Amino acid sequence: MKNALRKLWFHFSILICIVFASMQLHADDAHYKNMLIGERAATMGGSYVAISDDSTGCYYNPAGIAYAVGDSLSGSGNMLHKMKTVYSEAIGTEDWVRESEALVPNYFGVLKNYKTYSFCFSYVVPEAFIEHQDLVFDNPLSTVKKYYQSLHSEDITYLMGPSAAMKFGDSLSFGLTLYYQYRSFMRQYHYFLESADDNGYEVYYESRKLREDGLMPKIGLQWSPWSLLTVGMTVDQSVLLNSSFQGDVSFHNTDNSTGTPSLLTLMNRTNSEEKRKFPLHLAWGISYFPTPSLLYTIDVDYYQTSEIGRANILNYSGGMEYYLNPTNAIRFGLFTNYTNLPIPDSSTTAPYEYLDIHGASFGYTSYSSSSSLTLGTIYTSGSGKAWLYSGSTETRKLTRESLTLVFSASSNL
Amino acid sequence: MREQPSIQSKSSFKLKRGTKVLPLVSKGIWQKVKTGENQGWLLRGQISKFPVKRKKLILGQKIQLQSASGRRLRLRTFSAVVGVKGLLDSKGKKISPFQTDYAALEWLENRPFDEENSVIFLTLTE
Amino acid sequence: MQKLRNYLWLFFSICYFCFASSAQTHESRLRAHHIFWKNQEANTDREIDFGRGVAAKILGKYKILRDEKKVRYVSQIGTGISAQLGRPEIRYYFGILDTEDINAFAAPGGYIFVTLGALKLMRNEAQLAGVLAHELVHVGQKHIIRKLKLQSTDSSVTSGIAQVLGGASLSAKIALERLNDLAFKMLMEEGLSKDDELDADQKALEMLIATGYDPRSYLDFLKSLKPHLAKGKAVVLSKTHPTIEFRYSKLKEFIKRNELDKIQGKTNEKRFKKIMVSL
Repeated sequence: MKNALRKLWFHFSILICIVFASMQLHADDAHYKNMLIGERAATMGGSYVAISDDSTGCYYNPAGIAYAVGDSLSGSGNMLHKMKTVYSEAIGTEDWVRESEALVPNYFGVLKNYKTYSFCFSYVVPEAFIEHQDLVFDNPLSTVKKYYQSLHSEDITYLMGPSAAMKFGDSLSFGLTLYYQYRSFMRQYHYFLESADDNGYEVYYESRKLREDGLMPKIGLQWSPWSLLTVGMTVDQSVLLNSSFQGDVSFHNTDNSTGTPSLLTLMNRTNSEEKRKFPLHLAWGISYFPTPSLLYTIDVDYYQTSEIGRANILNYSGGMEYYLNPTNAIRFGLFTNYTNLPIPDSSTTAPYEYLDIHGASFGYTSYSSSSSLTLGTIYTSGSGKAWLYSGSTETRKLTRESLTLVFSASSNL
Repeated sequence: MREQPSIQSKSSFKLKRGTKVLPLVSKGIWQKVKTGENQGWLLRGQISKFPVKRKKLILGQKIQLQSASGRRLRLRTFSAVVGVKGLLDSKGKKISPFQTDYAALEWLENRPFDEENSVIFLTLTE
Repeated sequence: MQKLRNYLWLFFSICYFCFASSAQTHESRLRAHHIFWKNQEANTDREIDFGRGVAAKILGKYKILRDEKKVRYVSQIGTGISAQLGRPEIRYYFGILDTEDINAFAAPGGYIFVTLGALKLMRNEAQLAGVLAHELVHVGQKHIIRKLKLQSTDSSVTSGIAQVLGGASLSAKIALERLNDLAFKMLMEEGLSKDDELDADQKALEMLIATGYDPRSYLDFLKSLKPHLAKGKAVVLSKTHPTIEFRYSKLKEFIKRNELDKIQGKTNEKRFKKIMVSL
């Protein structure tokens, strides 16, 4: 009898602990390249540090905007971003599927160009994660008659601020961007579990809210050792000024299995002002402009973390742009989006998701004398492992796929 | 195309108008170029950055004013209209204080145009 | 000492970085669509349309000379030069203005005028070719348009003219009319920048040499302008150009620097005098 009871609790707790375990505080701060910014850069795999010569350049490498051709306005950089994550057989024998869909104008910038210096103002949404999910499982386990889960979360980060760049001579430029960074995160999670044989039920409710604001300064440099080649380098780091977190949890469990009903109720509120630390980000890029119709570019991004439990990582990206004729251009790109969590070992327990992602992009732009229209798509996919159950080293296979549709317009002023 | 960057230098090769050349070295007003198998020096003024296209005759340049018979003909371009009527503000006053003579301009534009013969005429030395 | 060495090293490295590349790096960044729209035909159409307006005003002020022989001659010389060294996408027109004033004008889009007074002053064909070449350069380098600040820099894609001329509204038409007035006034009163004029002189000389003319003749012509400035015949010319002495000395410098004084070229004096016999 005692064994049976223990077994029951074990299964209950598995389900309960999905909640506590996989609910990371941050939607996905294990990856740095979840969304690519700007129609030209995004369709080239986000490889732009040695180009950056339009208003999107304020975000990638402010030094590049010194080489912009004319003034420009880049607006309605809309992205339809869909992401699907599958944890195989995470709920009994069922897969747990999480989907996120967001339609965001993820870039807006205005650039003003003078002979040796340039100014820009831009607004960027580098992270937008919106998830709504209602799941119902019947008999996911022999001991569970019904499991209902509802999850709603939104995590959006905004950057906005000015940039300035200056040319020194013909082949060198420096630039600076100062972004104000703001993040708004909300998650509400609710589940209801009814055990088989009328042995009880469980209700859980959790609400988390986080507001962060801070600054992200970025310094960049671009140098052309030869007329067709440019190298670029940037350094940036976000620093939070304020952070306020509030988490509410309430849990109620009724267990009739032993004949004597037992009740368990928990209610808890946590508040925190702890500011999380961001990594130091260095990026290098090389671009080769062999003809006015063709360009190649490669970027390497290095993230040096200051948080315990994170690893320093490198991401790579590369892209090319080819003009079929002066009014139509196509672009391709490839990039990596590696996890910043250390490689797991036998002692790793939940919560942990180890997932490396790779992506490819394609885009098409139509140019007229003073404006351009871009359509493109970015696809990413990755697979790895997830540790979902608190206290357990059991893993489940994890896959994540995303598709982003890019449509935007730019105009010369 | 000359062998050396100097006017005294012998002409090594004659290039046709519109030939694509690859720039090599530049020295003052001279530019060394390469085309196919040949290399030589050209005056920088002889090289254009943009491809040579056929001459464009703008149809709009043909305007016809009142003909001798008094028949009113259609005016093709906006500037022709302005030329005849003058640009007037809402009160009917002329905006520009300057006189124009589109008839004279038209006479000039209708003159014969022969590039080939002109070039030949130019290269004739007495 | 070590610190100083480090700073010096840093300073020289930066200088090296700045000047290492001899080519204009921003030019290699120009993508196909930038180049296409920069040289785009519609922009040329608009430039010509605009230039016509200015040319019409010039012809409104000075009567056009309809002497077939003379006009044909000037036109042949001018066309001969522009066919080889002018902008390939436009047609150049050459007219003579019936006035004793000594001057030459260029309107955007290829309309070039030289006055009877200037022709009377010339001694040979090389001098005529030089004056026409000087005006050709103004059109070729778009000096007039750029001075009107309608195109910000040579490498700028946006054409302000396009925006003005493209406008169909009455206000756009008024703006166009005002622009024409501005250009005309500039030609008659203010003139182009000193740099543009010197640039035109130099490039004209290069064109003369390229077409086989004697470059010295152009210098002689500049010299011969001096006494006439005092008499008031070249009033507009002197108002709108840097002083003759300045142009002369700068040109002489240019010739010496590029060893152009050793060049022998043709003057075609006989042919010139035959046509201009009545002057």
